[in-house]
Amino acid sequence: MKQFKQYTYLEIKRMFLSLPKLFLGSLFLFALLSGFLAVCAQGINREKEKNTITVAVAAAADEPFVDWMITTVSNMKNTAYICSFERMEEALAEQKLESGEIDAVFLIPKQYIASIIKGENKPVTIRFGKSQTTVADFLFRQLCEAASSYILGSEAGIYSLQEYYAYHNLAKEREDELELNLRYIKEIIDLNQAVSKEETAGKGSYPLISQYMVSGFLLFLLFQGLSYSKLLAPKSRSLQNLLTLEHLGYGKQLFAKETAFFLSVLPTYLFYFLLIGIGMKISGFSLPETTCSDLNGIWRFAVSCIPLFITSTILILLVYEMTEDASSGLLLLTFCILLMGLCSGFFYPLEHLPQAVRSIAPLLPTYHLLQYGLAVLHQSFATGSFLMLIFFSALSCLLIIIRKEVSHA
Amino acid sequence: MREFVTCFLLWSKRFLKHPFFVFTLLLMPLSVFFLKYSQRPGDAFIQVALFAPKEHSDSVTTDVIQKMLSLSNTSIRFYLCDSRDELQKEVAEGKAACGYLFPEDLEQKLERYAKDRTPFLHVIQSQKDARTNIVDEIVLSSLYQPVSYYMLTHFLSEKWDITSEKDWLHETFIKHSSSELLFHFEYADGTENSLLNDKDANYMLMPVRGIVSVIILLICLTGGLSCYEDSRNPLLLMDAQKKSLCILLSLLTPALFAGASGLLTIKMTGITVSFTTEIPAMLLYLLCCMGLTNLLRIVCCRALYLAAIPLLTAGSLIISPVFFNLSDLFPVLAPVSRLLPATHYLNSIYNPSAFFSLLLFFFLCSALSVSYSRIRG
Repeated sequence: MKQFKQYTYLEIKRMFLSLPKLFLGSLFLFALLSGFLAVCAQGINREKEKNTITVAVAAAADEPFVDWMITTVSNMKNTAYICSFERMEEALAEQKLESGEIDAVFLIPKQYIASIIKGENKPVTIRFGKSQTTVADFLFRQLCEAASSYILGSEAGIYSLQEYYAYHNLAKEREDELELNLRYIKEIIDLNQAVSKEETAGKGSYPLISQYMVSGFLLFLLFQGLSYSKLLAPKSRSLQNLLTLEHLGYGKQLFAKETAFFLSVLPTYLFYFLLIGIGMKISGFSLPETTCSDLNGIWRFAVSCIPLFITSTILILLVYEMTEDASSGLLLLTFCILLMGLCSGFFYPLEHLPQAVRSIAPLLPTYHLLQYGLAVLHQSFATGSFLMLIFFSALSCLLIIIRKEVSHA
Repeated sequence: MREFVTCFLLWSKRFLKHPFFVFTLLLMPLSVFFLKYSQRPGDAFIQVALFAPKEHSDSVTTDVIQKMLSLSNTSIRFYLCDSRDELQKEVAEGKAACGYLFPEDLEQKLERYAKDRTPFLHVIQSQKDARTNIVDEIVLSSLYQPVSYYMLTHFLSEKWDITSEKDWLHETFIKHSSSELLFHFEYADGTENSLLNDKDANYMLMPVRGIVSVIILLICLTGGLSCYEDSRNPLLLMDAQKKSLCILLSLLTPALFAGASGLLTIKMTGITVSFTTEIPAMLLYLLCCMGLTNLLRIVCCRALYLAAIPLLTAGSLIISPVFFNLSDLFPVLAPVSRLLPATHYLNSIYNPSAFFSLLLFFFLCSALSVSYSRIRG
């Protein structure tokens, strides 16, 4: 017992000696993640003041109806939520696209309206300024499909009217065509009146802001492990064998190491909640209807998330013990965080992921970390996830011990 | 020259003999393989539930439902529920973003809507956000064709007697109807955006290039850890200039392997552009990672360097346009984003001017490293 206490004390001392500089790095990491989450929270909570995507419309100066199209689309309630449109010359539009002042350019081909009237329907080219296609672009494409449907639906009506008037040789075709066009335009703008809406109380699913808050918190806990690569990498075999001879088996060594790791990160963990509390007090920010609605709630959340903290430290330890090398541990830990996090709903909410990924999510410890964290945030207790965290922690310890036994055999 | 070749071979051996380094290199393409084939028919980013009474629905209801089911793609998937309660449950549990209830007499309701704007559709939502706005627009656009038809008949019936010609009008309207997409998508340099032009594209592969760039950066940073031990390495007992170049080579070596694996991974996703763009962009990015790692190695002690690793990795994942382009939503993050090499790499693929920003990033890091070394002596 005495040797165990001494060994534990030495491990703690070793970790605490590196604490100041690691603390500084963790402080930067925390500032990054919390700043991101605070900005996200403000963006989601406030009224939408500005549009997300700025789009330039480039067309020849003599192209008719372009300004009218811009006004029409801008007045559509659902589009105004996402885009703003501005007409400009093609050369200027491409320049602004390159500099990032605008997000996309609609390149209207020459004699576009004439092609619509003739039924040739030349396509409008949409050029994006960024290189990465994201989910927002996919949804933007859906809006473009909707716009196509509106144009083609109106076209069919106008052509049918033209054919009816020609067939019956009726007068005032142009005036009536214009009148029908205007009705169609008004209809497209006001079409959301066709839908009556009802909101239902959600159960079992959490708001997006909560999911990203908890995901950010978990990423912070897990990424901290990257700073401890040199400290957590296994020691030399000869030292471990010596410790074993002194009746400090692999289990006790693991327990001492985990205790030291936990105790060295705990002050950082608590200090950051202190910073969060101060930040909340100054900014007045809070998450209503959650545990973190006030300062006391922040500390209740911190205490309730201790199981998350312990499980994450054990998982980090497992990765380093498996690789037996600081550099390899760094790589594997990052890969594990990325892949498991993606499949657990850290980056995209789980309901957006393919069925195959959703089906393996419950098998991952990161999934249960997230579910437990969300339950705690929303003032409930996920018993199933809590038990799974205990299971994964125990399994990780067992795997570490087996790994040591096998490597030293 | 011989020293550099020897150094390169030894650094290569040092990394390749680490099983987990090789495992990481293989894990990248294997993960893409998993993500590529994880998406099945029926998977989509947004799920929308539909319900219409099966037995008493008119032909318009049936046709509209079938049309909407056929509109399903990897962005939005429509599916049928057996009852209103089931639809409500799906929405409440978050399995569907929203659910639409169709009346059994949709044809009559559309005619009535054309006259007095009485709503003909009912939607159940659990939370209001941009997704449900977009879904509203898509659902309404798919219903617009019959709406357009009834508006036409209502308009003509105000002026003429069309009672005996409704069938003819309907046939004429169908004849002139079409469902093509009137938009074509391109990247900034005019290259076709194959992901957006393909409605069945796998959205899980979108962040792969970004994730690969972050892993390459991490591998480079990991290689930098070895440099702290190399100060006592007898292999580097050479003049200062050669020693600096050998150290840079030790940073570049793991990055080269990672870059090759990364290019293979990106190739597997099917989003590669021409090799004349991919390879120079990757090489410049590797140089940027090497430059940044070298700067950190010179400026920071080992503990601070270790602390910087998660900062750069997490920062690149969140702020660079890997999953979302946060700079679009929060312009205040744009300058921070430019401090990360992954941002410039991701922008350079379809934006030739971003190549210069990659070069500039590398030269800046190199200049800062040299200046700091000289000041420190």
